[in-house]
Amino acid sequence: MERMEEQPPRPDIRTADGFTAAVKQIERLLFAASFAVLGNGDACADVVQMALLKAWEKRASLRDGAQFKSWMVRIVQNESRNYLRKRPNLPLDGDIPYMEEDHARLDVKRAINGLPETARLIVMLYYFERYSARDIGALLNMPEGTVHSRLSRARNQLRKELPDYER
Amino acid sequence: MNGNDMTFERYLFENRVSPTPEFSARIDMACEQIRRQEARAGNTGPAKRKRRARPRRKLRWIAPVAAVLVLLALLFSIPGVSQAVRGWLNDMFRLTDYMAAEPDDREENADIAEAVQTPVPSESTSTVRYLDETEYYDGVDEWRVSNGFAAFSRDDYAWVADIDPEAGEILYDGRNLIVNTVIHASPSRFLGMYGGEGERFDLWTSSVSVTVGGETYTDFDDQGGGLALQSLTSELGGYDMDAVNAADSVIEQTTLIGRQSPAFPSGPVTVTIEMWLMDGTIDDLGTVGLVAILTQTLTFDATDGNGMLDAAYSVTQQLSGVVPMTTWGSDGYIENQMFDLSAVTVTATVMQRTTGVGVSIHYTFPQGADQETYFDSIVIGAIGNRGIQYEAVVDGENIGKVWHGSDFLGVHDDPVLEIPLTESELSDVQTITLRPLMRYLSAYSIDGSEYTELPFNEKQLLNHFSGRYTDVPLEDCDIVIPLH
Repeated sequence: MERMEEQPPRPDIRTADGFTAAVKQIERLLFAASFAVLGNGDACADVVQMALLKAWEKRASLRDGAQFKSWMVRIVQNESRNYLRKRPNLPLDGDIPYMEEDHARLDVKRAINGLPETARLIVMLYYFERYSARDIGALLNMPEGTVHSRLSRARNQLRKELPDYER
Repeated sequence: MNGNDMTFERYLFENRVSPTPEFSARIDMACEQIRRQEARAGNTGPAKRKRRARPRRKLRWIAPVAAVLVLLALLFSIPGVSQAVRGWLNDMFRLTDYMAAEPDDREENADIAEAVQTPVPSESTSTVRYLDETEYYDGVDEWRVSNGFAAFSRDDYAWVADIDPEAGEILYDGRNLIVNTVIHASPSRFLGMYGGEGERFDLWTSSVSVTVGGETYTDFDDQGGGLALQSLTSELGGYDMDAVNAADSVIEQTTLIGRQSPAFPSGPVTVTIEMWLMDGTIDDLGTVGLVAILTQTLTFDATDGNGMLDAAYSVTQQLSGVVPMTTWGSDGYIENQMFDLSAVTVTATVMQRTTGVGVSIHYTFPQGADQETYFDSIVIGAIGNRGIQYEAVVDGENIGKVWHGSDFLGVHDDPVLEIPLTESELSDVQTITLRPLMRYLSAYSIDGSEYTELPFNEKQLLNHFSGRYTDVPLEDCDIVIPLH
């Protein structure tokens, strides 16, 4: 699967305009990174604001601008993990039925939340955000083969959790 | 990929989990804060700031006093600069930046410098427990081996035994506590995880507990921490590798952020910080990458930080006027309405702190009304970047919008506005006026399309949109805070 859009030019993240433009380009990626840890969309919103401000403060530590995505994913996931550790009883979105009236969406949320954390992120990037396995590997610093094997395992688990998908 | 997979793929894509509108709104809020920070720094930015030369050690306790007096006199004599100096203190993150710098390289601020403490060494202890000494060890080796990694061995991490966490500096202002712990290890151990060249270890604060008089006292709403590597960065970007190679320690910085929490009782307060050292080549977040748990316990005196909090007092103002307001229901629908504020009262409680003035904003809504909807619609930041904001007017000079701390989580607590005036600056200020504005969602754009006006009295269900907001001043609603 190839990504559908051309890569936009890389903004200069040392400036506020460049940093915020770069962030807006990867908004959905950041959501996926946070949701993979938290499984709760509201909590992701709480986390992302703090994570972005921390990232801005630490931007000088990013030596290679090409690593911006990976770097941001790691900061968002760290922040999400800190958030979760303080709120161990945080409900998963799939367990809050009123949030989603569409049963298929609710089923998918539940199934995604049933995956191991890393698999959750890989599945979200691959199936929801249409990243290629190669891009995911580069982003998460893992071999492309590992991405494929985790996708395969996750796919099998999702199929068990989503028996009604063929409709 | 076979046909079955395509069906499955399409099914997943069509039912994908997407960012909530609130998520996009919070990103917009953060971006706005970042632009403000840069705008402020533009006046006294790093390139223009004159760093104090590193004094000889024997002069260290004398030089700052004279230097601060001269510098303050100079700064406040130049129009516009005093405001910029106020600006750099505007939020928690600037304080963490201050604490992450070497003492001799910090921005000049006598009030804050005085508030920084170093714990008494005899009351500071630390331990380092390798993974195989912790409750997290079960199953880790099995996972590591099955995923192509070596089983855990202390020999692979021998350097960790010499880390010896040591209590560094503390900044406590009666509401926020920042603790620096010195970690005796080369920064190069960690740089690979922080965008530099080096190994891929990481250290993050896992939990913090606080005891007062032997009893547990945990009243901070948010806590976290990580390595502070700012002092090793180069002005040209990236890391200063000479500084990295010369350093034999790094700072782990832990922040404890309070909102309305009462100050610690004056006297000794004991803080225990648990930090997780991770092997990022395996996993920097999960227990399978855990190398060791570091625990640092230290005691400091909260008396000075509490000192100014005793001056807290309140001003109440009845709001008035009919203004546009965006409501965001629990069903996800957004609606603009004209809203009569005359039944809403705001109470501003002023707390002077070492690091600035905090003004807690508490709203009282009409009896019998849907308190939750009122709160979510009016309190800025409760949901999204809308609601009532405030401009601060200091002795007639409008210093622009003031913001609640970025620790605000919007869970039915009062936001605390941060007004960046320290004790020295306040002595010359007679009044601070808070001027409220209602900020509402006036238009939206989905997937980069043209902006569409959000109509009034018509519910909309919007997903991952970009918002355009409009401010409407609230006439005759100024909250005047006398200081002297």
